[in-house]
This record gives sequence, structure tokens and C-alpha cells, in this order.
Amino acid sequence: METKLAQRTFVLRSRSTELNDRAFDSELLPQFFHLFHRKSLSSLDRVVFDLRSVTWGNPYGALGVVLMAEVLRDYSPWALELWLGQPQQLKRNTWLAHIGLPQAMTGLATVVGHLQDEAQLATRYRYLPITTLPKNRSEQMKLLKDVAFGSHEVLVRDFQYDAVQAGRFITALSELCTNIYDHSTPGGEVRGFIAMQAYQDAVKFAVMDLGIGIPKSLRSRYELDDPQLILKAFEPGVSGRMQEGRGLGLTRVCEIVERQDGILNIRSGRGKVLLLGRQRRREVHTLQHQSTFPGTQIGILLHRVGPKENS
Amino acid sequence: MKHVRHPLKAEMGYLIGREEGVRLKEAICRELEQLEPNSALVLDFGEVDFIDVSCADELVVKVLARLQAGEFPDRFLVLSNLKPQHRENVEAALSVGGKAVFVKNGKEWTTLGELISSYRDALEVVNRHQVITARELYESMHYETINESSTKLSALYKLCLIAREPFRRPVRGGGRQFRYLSILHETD
Repeated sequence: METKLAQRTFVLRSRSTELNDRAFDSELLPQFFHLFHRKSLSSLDRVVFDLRSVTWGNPYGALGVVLMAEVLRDYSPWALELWLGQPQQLKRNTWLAHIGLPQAMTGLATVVGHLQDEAQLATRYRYLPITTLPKNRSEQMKLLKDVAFGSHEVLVRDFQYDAVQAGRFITALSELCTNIYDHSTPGGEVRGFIAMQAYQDAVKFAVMDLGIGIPKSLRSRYELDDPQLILKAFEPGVSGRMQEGRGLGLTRVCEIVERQDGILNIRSGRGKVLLLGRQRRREVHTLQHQSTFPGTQIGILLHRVGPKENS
Repeated sequence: MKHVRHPLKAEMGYLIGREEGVRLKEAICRELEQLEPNSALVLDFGEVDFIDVSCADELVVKVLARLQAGEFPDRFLVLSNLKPQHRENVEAALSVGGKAVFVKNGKEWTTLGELISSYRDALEVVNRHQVITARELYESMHYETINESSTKLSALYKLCLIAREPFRRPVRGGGRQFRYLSILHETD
């Protein structure tokens, strides 16, 4: 809910303690659209991301906040602020520091609040903090190799994943990142972000971009609504570039989600698709917002599965 | 069949993305072009820690497509030293592309990808015999007609899974008879 304060301050507030898919899709985005369409914002206005209640979350929620800040900054040089907890709430900010949200907002927003000293941030989880994908494709590949190498180390060495399951995680990550380029405007600027957190028994990561989005990139070829266009993108041979043999990556990601008892949450345009791996079920939603959020937002959860389930 | 080893080089051990696959594919095709007829290029994955499905598509499926199109006649492709991770993503790419390839690890071999079971059975016999004619396959598999045997061998040859060479003199009616060779049987 948006609150109007003195001097035209508008607050996008997460009331949940957990900044996850639901908090982004159902809480923050509706406030964002309301602010965007109902208020005639001026360059003097201030927009605040109030995350003081957040103690935990996932990469999808954290990246979503960065994307909203990027979109707001694109439209006008509004003053943006990110509110974190107060000194007595340091513990609350631990997760936000690990996922790198305050650091990612540097240059976009003024960070108000306190962060724990990094030395105090010991955790049994492993993180890839929010990272901006390079615009240059060869640099992106280099980054992906670094991330793949680091992730493989963490999953195999620290959490004893077998090499095949660690490989599936890296496959999903690399294919989704590559897909950002396939669904971007040819020659257009690519703005993509990734983040990850890994536990003993699961890996969560998010890949998001501010490109044209999957539905728009496929609409000229298929007369389908946005959720169906997202599903279409998961079929082999369908991609934004219309080049022969492309579009294997997302098909493989679906297989991986099924085999790793995972969940894939993907939203683009007015479509939102949820793939539930174990049940092999697909939930399809048409979003009723006033307008669409740019690009594609993808969150993935992959469980570590036992040898029997893995076969 | 002459085997020429082609070790795949991967920065940090990772083969990621279609661009990297395209780069490697071009090098593989250049090498295929240089091979003598009835030779196999053996792609060695020994130094690769990881390959994603897009890269596998370029350097295995797309190369097979060019071989099957006759761009490099009587040259063949075999994969070796595949780890389970490689196998998953290569197989995913092959399944979508509707192609099959030999994988050789030491003396063990298997086919990976899409191949109907009757072709697999025929291939097994060709590899066991190393050299075989349509009549010999017909007798070994107890097909109903010799034509069925010829059709299977011809199809496996078009899929670049077996080699062939002219056998004896041309038959009546202008046809030619071939004998078929396993591409897994390595000669000097």
C-alpha cells in the first residue's frame, strides 16, 4: 500500500518479513503500478523502498527491488531511498547484506539504515550477491564461467552435491542468462541481473532483465496471449531470434526443474507461469495490472534430490 | 577406420553458450574437411568439466547435421571420455535434433540420442562383425527380406553411424553393392 508523507514522499513497502516471489509479485508490484499510473510524479518527489520489516527472502524478491529502482530511474531523476532496519535491528539486515541489495542499489538510491560488519555475516548459506550482467556478450560468458566455477565449487565441496546435479544448476543458470540476449531487441541494450543463494538441500537463483520480454519477442509469430507465449518459449526450437536450432535452453531448464523437484516462476508482459517440478504441473496466470513491467523475471528453486529420484 | 583425436579445449574447463559452440564447431569442421575418407574424428571431452545444452547443440548436433547433409562425405564423428554431466546435456540436444552419435569410453561404446530400436539392433551387429554385407546382416538378424537389411544399412550410413565401401563388381541393372564397416573399429 502506498502512503503519502509530507513533501510528496511515496513509499513502496514490503510488509512481509520475507522478500520473496510473493512479496514482489503481490505486494510491491501493485504498489509500483499504482504509483506509476495514478500519481503525477515530479522530479522533486521522493520514492522510498521501505524494507525495514524484511529479515529474509530470496533472489527473486531482492532482484525485483533493483529492477523497480532501475525502471523508476529510467523515467525521471526522482530521489530514491532504500530504508533498512535501525541499529537495534542489525540482525534483520543480515540477509539483505548477503544478497547484496544495498550494494546493488548504490548509485540508484540513497541507503538509509545500518548494515552489519561483513565479519559478522557468518552464514551456513552461500550467496552470489546481485550481479549485473555485462552488456558485452563475451564478457557475459566470462562472468558466467566464473559464476559456474564458483557455484560448482560451493555445491560439490561445501554441500556435497554430485557433479550431475551441480551441472544441472549451472545449465539452468547459463541457459536463462543466454536467453536474456535471445529475447532482447536486436542491437538493443541488454540489462540483466543475476543472484543466487544456496543451502545444504536447495539452490535458489533469479535471472531478470529489462528487455522487451518474451511475449513481445514472440508475438509476431504466434497469436497467443502472454502466458501462452511464455509456455511457447519453453518448446524446443522457439526463440526470440528465430534462428534454426535455437531455443533448446528453456526446454532443458524445464526438464531440470522436473528432475530436481524444483519450482520455476517466470513472469513477462501480462503472463506469469509457475512450473512445479515434482507434480509436473503448470500454473498459468494472466496478470491484471494496469500495465506491464518490462523484461522477464525468472526465479528458480532446485532441490538436491536423492539417487533414486535422480535416476 | 582411421581415428583422429580432437581434444576439446575449454577455458576453465567450461563450455558455455552457443558462441563458444560455434567457434569450436568451425574448428571441428575444418578438421573433418582435412580427414581422409573413411576416417572418424573423435571428440575428446577429457579436459571438459562442463558443457551446456546450447554449446552441445552446436558442436555435436550441428556437426552431425553437416555430416549427414554430405558436406564431408565418408567422414564420421565419435565422442569420447564423456562424464555423466556431459552425457545429459549432449543427449538433450541430440533428442531435440533427432540425431544419434557414438560415445566411446575405452573399449566400451554406446549410442547417445535418437535412434529407433531396430536400427540399434542392426548397428550392434555391424559393430560386432566390424565389416558386413547386406546378406550377412539379413542372415544374422533373420529379416524377412534382404531388402530390409539393405534399407537398414543404407539408413545407418546416411545417419553417419556406419561407413561403406564398394564391394565386388557392379550388379546387374547398374546397381552397386557395398560392404559396411563399423566406424568404431580403429585401424592404423
